[in-house]
Amino acid sequence: MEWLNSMFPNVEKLWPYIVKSLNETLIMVSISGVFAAALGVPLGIVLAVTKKGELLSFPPLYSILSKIVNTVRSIPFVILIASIPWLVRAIVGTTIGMKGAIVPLIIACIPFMAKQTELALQSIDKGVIEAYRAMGFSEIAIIFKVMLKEGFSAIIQAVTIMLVGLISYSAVAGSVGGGGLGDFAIRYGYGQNKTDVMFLTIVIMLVMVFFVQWVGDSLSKLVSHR
Amino acid sequence: MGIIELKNIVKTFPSEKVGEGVHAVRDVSLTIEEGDIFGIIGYSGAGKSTLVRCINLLEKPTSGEVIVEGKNITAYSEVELRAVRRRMGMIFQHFNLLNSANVFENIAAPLKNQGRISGKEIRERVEEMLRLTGLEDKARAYPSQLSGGQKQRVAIARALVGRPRILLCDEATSALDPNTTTQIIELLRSLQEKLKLTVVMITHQMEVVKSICNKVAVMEEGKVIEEGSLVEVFSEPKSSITKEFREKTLYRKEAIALAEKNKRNLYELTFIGEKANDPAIMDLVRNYPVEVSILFGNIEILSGVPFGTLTIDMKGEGKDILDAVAYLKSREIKVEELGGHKIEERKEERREEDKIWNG
Repeated sequence: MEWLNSMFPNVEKLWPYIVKSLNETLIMVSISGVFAAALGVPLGIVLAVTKKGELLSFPPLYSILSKIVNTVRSIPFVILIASIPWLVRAIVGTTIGMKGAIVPLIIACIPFMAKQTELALQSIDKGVIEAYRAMGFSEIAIIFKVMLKEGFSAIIQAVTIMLVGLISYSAVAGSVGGGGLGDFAIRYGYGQNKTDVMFLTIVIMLVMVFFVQWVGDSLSKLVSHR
Repeated sequence: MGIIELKNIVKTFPSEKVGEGVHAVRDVSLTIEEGDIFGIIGYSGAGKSTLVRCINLLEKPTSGEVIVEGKNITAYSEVELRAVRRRMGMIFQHFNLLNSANVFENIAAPLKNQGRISGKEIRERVEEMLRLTGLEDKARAYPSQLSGGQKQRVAIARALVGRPRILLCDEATSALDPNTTTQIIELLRSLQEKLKLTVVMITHQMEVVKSICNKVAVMEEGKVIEEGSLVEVFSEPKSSITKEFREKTLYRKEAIALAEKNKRNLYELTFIGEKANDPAIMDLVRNYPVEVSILFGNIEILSGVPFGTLTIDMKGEGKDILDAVAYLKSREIKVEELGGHKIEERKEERREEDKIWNG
């Protein structure tokens, strides 16, 4: 312990803050992750099936949705946060703290999730879909019993990538007043030039990312049967 | 009236590059009778896959009528078509199984989708199909653990579990090795008999048509250019694909090369049905002063009918050879001359000889 204390002189004193920040990050990532997946996956399904030549081909809708998705996707996250305080206030009543950070996080992740879902469903063999049409399956039945079933493993992977991205975005959100580990690292590690605190924050984030990736990969493997 | 009737089917795909679009099927009419194993053969791009998809209306014909079991289904709504499709099984070149579901789940899928079938009945019917296709021990396996032949068996079980009367096969054996192809063909043949199926087989493999079909239509550039019983089509090949097949199985190229090299005249004799058992060559040698040597011989059974071919070399006087050919023809054997000395030239020689004789 003595040795650890000499290596990380500031950690013991700041420990309560570290725990609090970690908590905030976990809450931000999980709440935004759930909402982004819950809204992004259905949007991705709509994109995948309305594309020209696909199951429910409807190019006008596809074109509008994919343009919106691409536009939001191409706005850098820092600028997205700074550009929508009016929207954030309208939804959660405040623009600061975790509450204020979660809305931009969700908005940034939905298009990513939608695009990844679209790609996951697009990569399903068209022959399989045709086979189920030939068996007399309705389009809705094909979406749920064929496309989502076959694409489930790829969607889990997409959620995993999104969560890893969310961890990094949440740090950015923290730096503009959202709290969490990013906020903590900037305030103490960078602002007060405490290298040990900075280093510890990085380690915590790495552990989070590796854990998320490991869980995602295992789940995806479990359902893929390839 | 046939169980499936296609009347003047035209399918044109709109294309941005080609102004008038791509004509996949051009005015095809076919009648498929109940109990037929009907082969549709052609090179890739001939339009046969599009044509078979017009039968269950996965592709809507640009014009023409599809009549299945006496009902014109061309104008059916999507909901009505689903009911029709449940009564038609379909299998594919690449099997098209759900990779995320095991064999049992794959086969059960069409039954589950129909609703109103109890879990117990589903289990019984899937198990029955597993038995019929020889997959009893694979029920819990996933497609990635199966060989190509086993995957196609699963696909066949899935296609037939709903007890359809019609089975459509789209290049069902094209991704399989020759041994597995034979096994799948045997399986299809036995299932066709047991379950009283009408089978439509799309393929580019002549061997497949020859070994299982009783009728065949040959497609080229979107049109049916030959149609009839297997024996009819192979005894009078008109299209390049049937001719090529005959050349392959009859060593015809080799025979022609040999004839030209040795300036000999070779004859290809075709015996169909009972004729294949006639001792025609023996009678020929007994009654005519010609020497006959046999170069190649082959006999195939095409939907139960013996179909024999024999390539022979005849030596002798021109007149005698002509008489011998006439004799063979009189015994209803098809005689075709291959390369070398032509019959026309022989006729000239014969006239010369006649002059001498008469002179």
